[in-house]
Amino acid sequence: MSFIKADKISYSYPVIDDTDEFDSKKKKEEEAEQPESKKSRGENALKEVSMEVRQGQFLCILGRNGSGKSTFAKHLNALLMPSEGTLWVDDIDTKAEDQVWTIRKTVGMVFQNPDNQIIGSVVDEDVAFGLENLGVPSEEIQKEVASALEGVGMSEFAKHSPNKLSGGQKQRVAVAGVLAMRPKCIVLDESTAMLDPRGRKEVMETVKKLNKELGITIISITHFMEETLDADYIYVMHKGAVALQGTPKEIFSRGTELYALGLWFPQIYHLAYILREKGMELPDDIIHAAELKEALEQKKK
Amino acid sequence: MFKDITIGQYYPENSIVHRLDPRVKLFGVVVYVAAVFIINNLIGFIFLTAAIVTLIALSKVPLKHILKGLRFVWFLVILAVFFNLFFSDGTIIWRWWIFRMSYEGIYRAIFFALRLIYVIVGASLLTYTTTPTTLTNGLEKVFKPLDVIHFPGHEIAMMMSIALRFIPILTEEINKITKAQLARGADFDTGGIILKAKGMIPIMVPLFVSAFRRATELATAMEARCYAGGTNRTKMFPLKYETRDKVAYILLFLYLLVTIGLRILMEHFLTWGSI
Repeated sequence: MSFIKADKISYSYPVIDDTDEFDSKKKKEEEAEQPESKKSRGENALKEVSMEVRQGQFLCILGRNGSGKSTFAKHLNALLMPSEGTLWVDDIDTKAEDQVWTIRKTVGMVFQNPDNQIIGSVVDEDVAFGLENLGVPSEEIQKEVASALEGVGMSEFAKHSPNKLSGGQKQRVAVAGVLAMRPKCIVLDESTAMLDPRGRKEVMETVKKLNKELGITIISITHFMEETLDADYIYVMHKGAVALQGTPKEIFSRGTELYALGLWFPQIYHLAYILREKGMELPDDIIHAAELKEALEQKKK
Repeated sequence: MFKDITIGQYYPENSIVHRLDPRVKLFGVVVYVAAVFIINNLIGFIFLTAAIVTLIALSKVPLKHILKGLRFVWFLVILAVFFNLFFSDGTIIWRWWIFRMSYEGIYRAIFFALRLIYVIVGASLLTYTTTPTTLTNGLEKVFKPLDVIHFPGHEIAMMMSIALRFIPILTEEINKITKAQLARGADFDTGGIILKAKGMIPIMVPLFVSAFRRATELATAMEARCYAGGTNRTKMFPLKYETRDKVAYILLFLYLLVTIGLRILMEHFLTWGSI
């Protein structure tokens, strides 16, 4: 039984056509020169995307800018509705208008810019925001907020101002805000893109912990290959469609195919790849540093 | 650029005034400001001074801090004093060119200045002792009865708290943009006032563009977290009246009555000390 099921969904952003003929002609010329990502206006941002996610999975959606991965993410909690096809979340069709709040409660979203998604001026108030919107009684909110902050390891900052926190901490607060609503699934829409490596690690470790300990389904949308190494399954998107899918090892063994999709190997895989090119015999599915270390140690013996 | 604004900035302290319910404090400010303008005699002013001094002492906010906040309004005070002092009619005691000075003018100037200072001190005491969040919560509650006439109390409170949250973020952004434009050779320091104002354009345009983008993203994030306006919303820490709040309400009512009573008394029975 799949938890989220996308059946051939397509989506095109509404085009506001307020340009006169000269402008639109000029625009067409401009568009022809622009890179792929900007040209998608008017075209379908998603083209017959089908995906399946099981409860408790750690899923990654990879893709470069303009591949439609963020558009897809916004479908997952009914911020956007598919123009064609159907998306079921926990057996609810996202087009059902009366179920919008249920869906948004089930699937929480963490966005890219930490500053633009924190609403409260105190950490615990921000975490409470979602629950306050749902009309949860005060005592219950206090309890949920405390346990959500505990879950992301930010309890000691409960009374701090979000402005004083680091990027990674801000994103963990955003995760806590979603977690407090007890979602079944958390979608990270490029949530680590604006963070430094340390913040990125903090956030990824936090969500991995939530995935393991609470069984929350994680859908991580990213263009960092390193973040996908521990994923259960990966979808690679390109030009609004699913280009590749499989486990990390299956995906990375596709080699140069990835390069054509605007992606590149994770560092360790790349290193192993170069070593193989130079004539060293190594298994071709190494993606973790530990695996490479082991393989090299065996060589030494 | 915005570092020096002390007026209205929260002064963290754990005093009884800090702990009072924001609604009580809002009511207090209304009573206080009303009193400042109702009073027309010396006894009333002594009474008012005693009240505000007691409050400041209770709030534990240093007097120096409060007076520092006043320096932004000195100009206003001096201007008001100047006009009252030199352009008032009455028993003229000195005259030169268009200037004239009268007993009434001197009185009026002194008490006008006092009133202005008193109002500002009182109002700033509210913001010194109340966090912006508590204050907006209080305002939201105060405006709640106006829902019947579709007054957007919740929306106003929400806008205020979002504005407060983004002030430091946008300030930081201004600094970044300024530096970026300086690096490209922008000149903000030379030229007259018009040229300087024109120099602000390359800062303001990117700032606005970014603010609008932030607003869109924030709206999406709020929607994703089930925000649907003020109806059926609950609060993590709802405002609740304690005994001290009730006592404060009673004291404020008594004070208002006494002030009005004093004025009536003065007007009917006494002639000395009135202003």
